[in-house]
Amino acid sequence: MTLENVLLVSAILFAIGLYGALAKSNAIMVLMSIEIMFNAVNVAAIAFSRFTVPAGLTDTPVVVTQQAVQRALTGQMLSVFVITAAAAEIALGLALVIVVYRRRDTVDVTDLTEMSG
Amino acid sequence: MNGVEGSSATDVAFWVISAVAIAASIMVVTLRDIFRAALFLALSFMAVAGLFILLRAEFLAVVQVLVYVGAISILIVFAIVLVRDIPGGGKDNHIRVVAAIVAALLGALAIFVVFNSDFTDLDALEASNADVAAALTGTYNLDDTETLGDEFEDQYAIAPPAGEDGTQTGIFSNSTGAIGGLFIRDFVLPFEAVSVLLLAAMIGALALLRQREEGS
Repeated sequence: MTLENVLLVSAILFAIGLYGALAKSNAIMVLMSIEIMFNAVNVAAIAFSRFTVPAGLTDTPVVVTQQAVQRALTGQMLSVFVITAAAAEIALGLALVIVVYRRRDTVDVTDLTEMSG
Repeated sequence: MNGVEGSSATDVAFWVISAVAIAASIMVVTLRDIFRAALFLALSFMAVAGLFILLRAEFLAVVQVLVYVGAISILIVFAIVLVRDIPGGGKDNHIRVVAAIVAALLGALAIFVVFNSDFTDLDALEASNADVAAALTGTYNLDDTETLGDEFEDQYAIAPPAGEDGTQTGIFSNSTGAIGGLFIRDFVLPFEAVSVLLLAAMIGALALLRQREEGS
C-alpha cells in the first residue's frame, strides 16, 4: 500500500463517478455518481495526509510544533469539510429532484430542457 | 516501526477493499435497477470507510459510515421510493459514449500524473529523520528523541499521554483527539462556516418542498 496505489484507486473511482454523472439520465443516478466522486476525492486527500511529509519537517533538527501537527492532519480536516459539503449537497439535490418530479412527473434530466434556447 | 503496516496482510486487505469499492461503483453506474444501484452505492461507501481505516483515519472512517452509509444512502433510497421511477431509473442518455471517453481520458491522465510525480514520501523521511517520522506515524520515546526537544511537550499540547515506559504514540496512531483539537483551534472559522452551510441547506430543502405544497 503506497501513495501511488491509493491515488490509483482514487483516480479510478473518480473516473467511474464522472462517467455516471455524465452518462446517466436519471437525476438521482447523477447525484449518486457525484457522491462516488466525492468519495474518490476524500480517499486522495487522506492518502496525501497519511503518506506525505508536512512542510517544515524534512530538515534536521526539527521541533514537532502545533503547526506541524496541523499540517500533518490537513488532509483529514479537508475530508471532514468535503463530507459536510456533500451532505448539504445531497440534501438540497434530492429536494430539487422531488420538486421537479412533482411539477413535471419525471426526473429524466434529458427531458428538462426549459433552459435550452 | 512500520510494523503491521508494512506487512503483506495490509497490502492484501488494501487490494481486496479497493476491488470491492471499484466493483461496487461500476455496478452503481451500470445497473438498470436504480434501487439496486443505491444498495451497491452503500457497499461502495462501506469499502471506502475500510480504506480510511487502512490509511489511519479512524475518525473519518466512523464519520463515513455514519454520514454516507447511515444518512446519505437512506436519503437516496427515500428519494427513489418517492419518485417511483425504479425500473427505467438506470437508463443512459445519448452522450453515453462521449461520457465514457471523457471519463476514461481523465482517469488515464490522473493515473499518468500520479505515477510521474515525485512526492516527499514518509519513507524518505524515515531514512533522513527517523525521530520525526516516528512522531508522525509510530511510537517513540520522548527521552530518547533529542531532535524533538523539550519544546515538544509544550507546543504539542494535544499529544496523548505517554505510556508507562515513557513511549508516546505518533499523530496518526491516535488522530481523533488531534482532529478534535484542530476543530476548536486552528479550523474554528471553517467549522462555524460549515455549520451555517448545513443550516442553510436544511432551510433551503424545507423551503423548496414547502413552496410547492402551498401552490397546489
